Amino acid sequence: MKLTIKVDPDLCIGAASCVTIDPETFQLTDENKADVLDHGKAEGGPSYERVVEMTQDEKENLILAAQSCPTLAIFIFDESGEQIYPEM
Amino acid sequence: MQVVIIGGGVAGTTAAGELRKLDPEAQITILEEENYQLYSRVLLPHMVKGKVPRERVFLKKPEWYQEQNIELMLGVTATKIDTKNHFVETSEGRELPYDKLLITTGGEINLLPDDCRGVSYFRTLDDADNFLKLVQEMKASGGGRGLVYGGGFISLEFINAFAHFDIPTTVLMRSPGFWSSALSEHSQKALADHATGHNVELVSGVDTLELVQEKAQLTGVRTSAGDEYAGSILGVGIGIERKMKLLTNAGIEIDRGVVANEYLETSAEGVYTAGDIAQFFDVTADRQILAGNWMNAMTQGRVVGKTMGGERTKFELVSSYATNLLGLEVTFIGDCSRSSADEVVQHVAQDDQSIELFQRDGRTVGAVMIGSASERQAITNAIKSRELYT
Repeated sequence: MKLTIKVDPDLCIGAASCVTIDPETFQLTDENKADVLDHGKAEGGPSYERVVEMTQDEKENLILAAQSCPTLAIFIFDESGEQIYPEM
Repeated sequence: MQVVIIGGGVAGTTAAGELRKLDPEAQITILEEENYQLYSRVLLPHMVKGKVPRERVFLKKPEWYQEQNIELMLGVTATKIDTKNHFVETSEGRELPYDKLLITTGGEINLLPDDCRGVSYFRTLDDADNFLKLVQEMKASGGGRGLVYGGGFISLEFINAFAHFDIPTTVLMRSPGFWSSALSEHSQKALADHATGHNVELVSGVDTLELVQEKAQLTGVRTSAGDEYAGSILGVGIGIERKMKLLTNAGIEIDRGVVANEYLETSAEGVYTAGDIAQFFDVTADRQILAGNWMNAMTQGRVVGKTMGGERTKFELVSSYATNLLGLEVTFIGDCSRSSADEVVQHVAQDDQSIELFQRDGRTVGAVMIGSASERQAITNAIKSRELYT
């Protein structure tokens, strides 16, 4: 499945729990903000938003990483554009 | 199996959810002192600044507890733990028997001996609500000055919040500088210069503070040296204490926190601990430590929930905490105890930047970073793999 993953840099405080849980999808920038990766890669340069093809297991770990964010700065959308995390 | 969890913060709630995944049958009860379901304390500064609406700080909806069949007792504390007869007495006078007990009572903030309108703390959602109300009143009455007492994490949140509302600020510290027992002189100077560069007045070496009031409303503070500083809001951040009263003579080994091994098991059978209250054996630091950050509490909750559910899991994490002072990043990684380090190396020392490395037994165990975070991942990796970062 294709998921759109977004980090709101204004909310991100660099707690880095997402990086600890899912380092394939998140890394920290020099500004202490979480950057979105596609399986460890930042094609086209750093970005706070990326569409990533994921397996069910990868998705579950991604949700775990998003849930671990103390400022709820990570947003995940499914292919139809519906926000799957945080739950509305 | 009957499970009682004392404390409904992130450690206790995460543990409950994790345990439920492994054990659909267990009776799980959480005692929570506050009147709210799980919310993020880390989001409170964002809420105060209007970056997120109030309802957004809640991390669980009341329905979640129902769906998970977890009983959440709000406004209830534990008044006694009996590890011999396996029960917990609650502030409502009930006795709850347990097969497994999890202690996640966290820490409590130190309060000033006196109180009046204008004195503000920043631990709970109620504190944040109260602070916002005070700011609105100040703004409505044509402005005023903000005072901050303390030089740690909470002090920074108050400074940032006052700056957000364009309230001129004076910071009074008991110590010579920000985190003076934890940071090098260079780090303290970098923070102090940054604050004063943003028109924040810093006063250090303040022994005691006396509240100056007019009709029960704060108008300023007086130091023991007799100096007076005017201000109608005083943000107090003078540390956290782990309250041990409940745990003394309960048959559980305690020290500065509840003593636990790397599985977060305490000395008493069937009793576990996690979060700020846990004094656990940190396998990376190779010693007993206390940690007071979100990442640690959440991850411990997950690990201990597994262990209580029958999948005994070792806790292993290099946790970190990041904040900022008026835009200047401050990050603590791993074991940053000066007294436990063999040596603290000033790795980077520039005007707006500082990196200190805490070395022990020939390897890096912790770091404090101020300014750029570009080396954060590399340092974290070195700590994790027990290497010396140079």
